[in-house]
Amino acid sequence: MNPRRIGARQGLLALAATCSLFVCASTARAQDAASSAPAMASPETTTQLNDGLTLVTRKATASPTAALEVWIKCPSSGYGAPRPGLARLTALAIVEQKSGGSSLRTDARAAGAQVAVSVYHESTEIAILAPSYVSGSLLDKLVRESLHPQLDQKAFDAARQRLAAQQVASLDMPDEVLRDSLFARIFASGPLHDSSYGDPRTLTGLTLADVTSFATRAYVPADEIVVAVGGVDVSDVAARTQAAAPAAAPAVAIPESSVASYTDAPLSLTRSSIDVGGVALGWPGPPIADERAATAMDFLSDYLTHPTEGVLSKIVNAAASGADFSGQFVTLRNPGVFYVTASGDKVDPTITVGIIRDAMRDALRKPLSDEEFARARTAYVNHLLGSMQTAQSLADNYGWYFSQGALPYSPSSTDAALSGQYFTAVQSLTPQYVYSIASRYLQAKPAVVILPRGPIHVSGGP
Amino acid sequence: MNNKVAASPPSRLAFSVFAALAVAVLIGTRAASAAAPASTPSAQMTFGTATQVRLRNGVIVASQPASYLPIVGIQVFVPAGLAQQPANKGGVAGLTAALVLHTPVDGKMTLLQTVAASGGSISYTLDPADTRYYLECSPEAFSRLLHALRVALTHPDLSQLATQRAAALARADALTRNPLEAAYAMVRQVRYRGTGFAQPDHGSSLSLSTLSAGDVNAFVASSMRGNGTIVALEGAVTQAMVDGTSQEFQGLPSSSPAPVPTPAGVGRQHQVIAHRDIAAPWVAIAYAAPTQYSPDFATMLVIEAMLGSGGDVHALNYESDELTPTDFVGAYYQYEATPGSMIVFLGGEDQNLDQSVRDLTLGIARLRGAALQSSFIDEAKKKAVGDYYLSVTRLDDLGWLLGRAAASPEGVAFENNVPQRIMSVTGGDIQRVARRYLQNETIAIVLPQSAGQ
Repeated sequence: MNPRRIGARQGLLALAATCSLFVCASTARAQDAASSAPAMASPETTTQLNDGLTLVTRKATASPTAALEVWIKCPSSGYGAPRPGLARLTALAIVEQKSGGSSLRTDARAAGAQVAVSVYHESTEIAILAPSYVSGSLLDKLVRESLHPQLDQKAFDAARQRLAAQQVASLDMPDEVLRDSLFARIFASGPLHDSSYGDPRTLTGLTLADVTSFATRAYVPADEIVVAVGGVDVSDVAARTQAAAPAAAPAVAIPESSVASYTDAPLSLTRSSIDVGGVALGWPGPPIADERAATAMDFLSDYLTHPTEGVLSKIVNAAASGADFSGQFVTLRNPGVFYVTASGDKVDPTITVGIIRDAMRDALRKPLSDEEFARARTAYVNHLLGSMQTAQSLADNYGWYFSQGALPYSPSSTDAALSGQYFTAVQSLTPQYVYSIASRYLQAKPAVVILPRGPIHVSGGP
Repeated sequence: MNNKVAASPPSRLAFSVFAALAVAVLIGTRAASAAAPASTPSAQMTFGTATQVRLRNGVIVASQPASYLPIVGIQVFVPAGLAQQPANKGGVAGLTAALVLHTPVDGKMTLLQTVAASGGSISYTLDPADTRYYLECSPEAFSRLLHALRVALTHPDLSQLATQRAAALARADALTRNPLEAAYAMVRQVRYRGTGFAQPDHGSSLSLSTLSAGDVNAFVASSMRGNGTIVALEGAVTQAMVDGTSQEFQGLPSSSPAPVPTPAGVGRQHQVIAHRDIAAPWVAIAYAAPTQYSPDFATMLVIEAMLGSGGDVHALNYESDELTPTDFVGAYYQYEATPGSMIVFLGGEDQNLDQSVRDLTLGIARLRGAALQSSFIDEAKKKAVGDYYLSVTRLDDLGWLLGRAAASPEGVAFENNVPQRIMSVTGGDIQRVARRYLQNETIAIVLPQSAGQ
């Protein structure tokens, strides 16, 4: 957790007296003063209502579409005793809830738009990708349903059915199973310990009252952001959001996730129904508050695990053809996590663990040369820019970094000249600094999870 | 970087559910429908400003700048598609494209390696009427990499032939075992007989094994022509880049590529059956359909929405940087081939395949025969417009649409005209188009093989 950010938000709530908006270039700046003017040439407009609700709007007009998203900072397993899947069930119910005869899902579909619910350990995203010409009316529906969740039994039942299907589907995805199991290995408790899908037993026990109670605690303006990117009118979005803004309510801190005392002895999974071999290795990394270190980890992640150019990717793919290898540094409040997974018919888990660890050791045993570092950093920037070319990807990044308490650090917050905070951090990297971060975080013993090949396993678990 | 740590499960279920819902509506079940759009088509329904120039040799250079983006996307359309392959040279288009990517352009580094080293990307897609090369890079690398691509296109390195042919054989073998691709291949075999598009994307082991350097050279020579070549630029495009592109491609010969043979029409029903090592059967039911520049195109897009679209026109094309799909349920409108095809894929995990086939048949009959509820038509039109826009959000897709528009009789305005036409479709249009095209179906069935098959 980052108490500094939470404190700033709560302080802002105390200042709130009217419903007026104030606009500034970054959320952090907004929290410093209640009346500020547009500042440096940020591509987005960040607005904060006096109830604490944050709004980011950005025009991106290559395609006449709009990404409309509501992100909520909240623990996926609830606030008290862990109830994995609770946040996902709540979000699905919101999408199914009928008001005025239709739900967000049916309205979006009828308008030719797509609706998606994504639930992460410490945040929930309800998103619509829409043709621009219908984005206004869909934004109205999105903020009305998401910012004022009023759920009934019918919506709850529909959500439960969907979640049950998602639970089954997620178990067929080796990378999801491996990642969730790895996080359960690294974190002893807290939302990062549990899968956001939950499990059938917990789902059976959850009620409409549980979901309603969770929504009341979690869906509060201070912990919510509305993001609208694409062919949108900034003032129109602000007006529509303001019209739907809920009353201020106290924000509830997300429970801490404590790091477990694991060893690097592999934990063998026995609960999967997947008949492939797989491995996952993970290392706790720097918190997001250490932006330069987190950026160095992003760089390392790209250098090591880019799908085609990553040093590790090439070695693992050469060793086990057809392996599905991936990895990334997940920027989190504290700590971040760098992890890799490999799975496939031909993946021998034990051998692959050795290959990955040896390759990591070789790749990180000394700083990159200046020439190789410059090339790799240019490649990293271009990979990153390539992944942020759509309205949806830009919006997702704003939402993610808001949920981790670092909105101004979002890579989306940059112009074509790469003047934003994130890319400034990228430019500050040096071979020696990256090496020092790799030595500090990635030369530690990893948590290791393996999915043995062979017969289907049906019981047990980490 | 993408910091998401949990993604939603694949969207196949959504496609499947929507398809079932749409067909249910078609056969008469009432479903909730939305009110008419709050706003009429407007400036919010247009892509960025686009321009195009036609060089003396026939090459079209189209551009659509988006100054807020710090990268450039370049789609190069070469009239070297699957349909242009000689009937006995199946696989030559894919083999040529693979050779282009592996041609050394910077010392010993291949085009693929050179682009990747700078953090860019390059890939190719095998379309019915062209091979498309997509290059994405920083503005600083644009001139250097575009030149490298053009050089590789005109002079692919044939010393890699054996290696790339072996890779193509492996891809062809994998496609043969894929039930979805098997069904699609059977449909193409019937509907596009006499053209290269009747053959599998990578050819067969027989055709590949006979391809020589001479065949590749002949294919390159016949396709690297001014007429039919299109370069579409997206993102951080400047006038200097447009000018540079024109200079790069002005040396192509001005003659046109050889005309693509027209397949014999399908005048009756066909049923083709194959067996594969799969758990459940797949069925593909194919009908005739208009091409993208036909006056009936917009109406067929609405019909596709009514049937429940399973994915866009590229969903089943071979793309060098994407995995071949193994799962596809719903309607697939192949409008880039001549003639077009409307194919509905059913099966896989669908436990009630017989009922799905019956529903589809009833739904098609209803499209042809009776007046549809106006609310259902309105919803399908909005869905079709939504599919149209939402399938074009990345630079590669924007470049594809821009290039297709530039080649149309209307020029770049085409991309903004299509949604307007969709919104103008009437019930009468749907009935007329359904009666004209949705008949004489080709049914491809892929069954689980029994022991010994």
